[in-house]
Amino acid sequence: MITLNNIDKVYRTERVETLALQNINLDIADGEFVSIMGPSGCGKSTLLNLIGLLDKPTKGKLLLDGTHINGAGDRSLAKMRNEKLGFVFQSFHLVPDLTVLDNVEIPLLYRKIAAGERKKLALAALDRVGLSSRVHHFPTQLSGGQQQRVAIARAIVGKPRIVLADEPTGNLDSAMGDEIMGILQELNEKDGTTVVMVTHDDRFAQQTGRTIRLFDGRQVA
Amino acid sequence: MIRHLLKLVWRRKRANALLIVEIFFSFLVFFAVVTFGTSAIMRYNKPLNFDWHDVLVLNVSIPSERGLPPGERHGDNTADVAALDRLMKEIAAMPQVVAIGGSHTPPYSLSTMEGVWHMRGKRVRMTMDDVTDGYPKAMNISLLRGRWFKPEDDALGYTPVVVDSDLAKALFGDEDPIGQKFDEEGEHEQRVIGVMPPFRKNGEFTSEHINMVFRRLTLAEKSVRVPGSLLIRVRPGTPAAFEEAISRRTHEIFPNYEQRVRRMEAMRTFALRIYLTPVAVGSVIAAFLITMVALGLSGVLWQNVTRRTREIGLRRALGAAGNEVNRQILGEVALLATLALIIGVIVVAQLPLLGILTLVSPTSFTIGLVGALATIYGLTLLCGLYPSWLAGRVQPAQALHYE
Ligand SMILES: Nc1ncnc2c1ncn2[C@@H]1O[C@H](COP(=O)(O)OP(=O)(O)O)[C@@H](O)[C@H]1O
Ligand SMILES: [Mg+2]
Repeated sequence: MITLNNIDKVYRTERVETLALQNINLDIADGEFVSIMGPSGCGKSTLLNLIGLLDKPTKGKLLLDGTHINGAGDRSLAKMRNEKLGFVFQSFHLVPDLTVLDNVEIPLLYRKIAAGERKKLALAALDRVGLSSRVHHFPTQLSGGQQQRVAIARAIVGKPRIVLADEPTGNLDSAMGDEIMGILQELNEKDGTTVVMVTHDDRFAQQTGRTIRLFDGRQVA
Repeated sequence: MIRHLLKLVWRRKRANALLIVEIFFSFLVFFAVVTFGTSAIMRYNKPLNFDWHDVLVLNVSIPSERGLPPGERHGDNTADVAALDRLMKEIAAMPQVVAIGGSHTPPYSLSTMEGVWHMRGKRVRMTMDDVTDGYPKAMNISLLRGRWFKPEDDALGYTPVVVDSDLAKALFGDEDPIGQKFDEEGEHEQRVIGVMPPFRKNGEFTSEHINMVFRRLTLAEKSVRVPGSLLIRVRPGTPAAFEEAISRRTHEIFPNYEQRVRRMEAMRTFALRIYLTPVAVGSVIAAFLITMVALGLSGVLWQNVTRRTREIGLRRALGAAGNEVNRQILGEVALLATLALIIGVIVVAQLPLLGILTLVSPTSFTIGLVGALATIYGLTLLCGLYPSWLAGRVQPAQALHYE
């Protein structure tokens, strides 16, 4: 359960102040598949980062599973990100020096889990995205679609209740995009994982339960 | 987590190799500085077992028959030897003088007679000097056992020698050295009559175990090699004018030979400077090197963190707390330092085989090793502190923003 109340986000740099989000009110229920749409620079990533606890709102209340996160310290935020959330990014963000398997294990390094168990979970997650045959490859040896599947495996390896995906198909051709969309849908339908996805593609947005539209930092639908 | 770090370090071996090499070399430099520094301090704190205060050193360049190559031998030097004997007796009788003794290579003179002798079936490196009966009193050397030379020894059927306890141990082990046969030169047998504590011939920084032996030198012997230095112990507070007087008298007796009078204190100052100058230069170079390495290391580590901002942001997003990232980066630094130091220790461990223990004591070697390990670990961790602190402060949203 994600709740945003009167959220503002202001970016302050030396010269300019950008009001990236203004008065956002939002409830996302468990098990929903929500898409966020809007023109470039309207604040979609900012919104997703706030939900993902990667950044803090300038104003307003944000609750995750009923926990008020405004006052939470770095440690408990990190713990919540690790246990409750999974991230998928447009540019995959895999560590190039690590194998597919090691990349997928990263979230589990920040939990108390034995190495053997870690490997088992990572292999299971990779199996889930159909990459069991590529576990010892390095990211550069994979296609874009395969890399994004690794990123999804990494997002779900810790069995989070929420997966946040920021334009996960943005760097992929449409066939690969369909594949990724299929995996996210399966996650949502089979496991009941809440999925919040930023997309530019109307086709994918229509396949989600609900679409939030942003324009210039405001919620327009 | 350590395995994870090892994998990262291994995959980035090209960038890390440079760091490892840097740490490795600073370890070697530090090892050398600490080892030789400790050795110098330990040597400095050991007793000299002689006393350089209130000693004048008179050098007279009397040609010595035995000291010259055959072609240049100018014949008999009995007249010179007799005159020298007279001069010594005259000086000894002066009220300012406590004792006078002749020596070929006195302390701090920067000249030494040393070599490896075969004796009692052993090869022993030793340092040698021939001294007259007044020498021990002039240099204020006390004995552990036995006695020093005396004029009556002229009548002995052998040449008496006094060894220091290091040489006694090297030659005779636990046997009583007194009365033992030392060596023979022609028909002359040499016997040990006294044992002194370890003699630090070149002063405070003399290496350990120089294995000193003093052979009795008597001017009564025919065609003797003339002692080049006369050591004169004077009463404390004797004015510099006395040096003038000695010099004048020497000139009267030996008008044709060069001569000079110095205080042993001045020779000491000079000798210590000669030893300490390279040490000081070495330390400055080492300090400079270490500073460069520390700056370079911080720079490279800092760059390393900057280059990995995205990876760090990603780890933060995936659940690493700020101080976990901080610790990971420090862990990587520690891992690199460990790898470099393992190589360093392997290299340094070969040095005893190459004979470093003849230059420094095992204690200085150990202190050097442990000290350098601790310092380099400390230094690399110190260099890693700021970069890893920066890494811990990376804001995930910002780091992942750069696409
Ligand atoms: N870290 C930041 N610092 C300053 N301004 C930012 C930062 N991140 C985003 N912005 C600005 O906030 C606005 C919204 O950005 P973003 O959420 O990335 O948009 P979108 O994802 O919809 O393209 C933009 O004007 C962008 O320039
Ligand atoms: Mg965006």
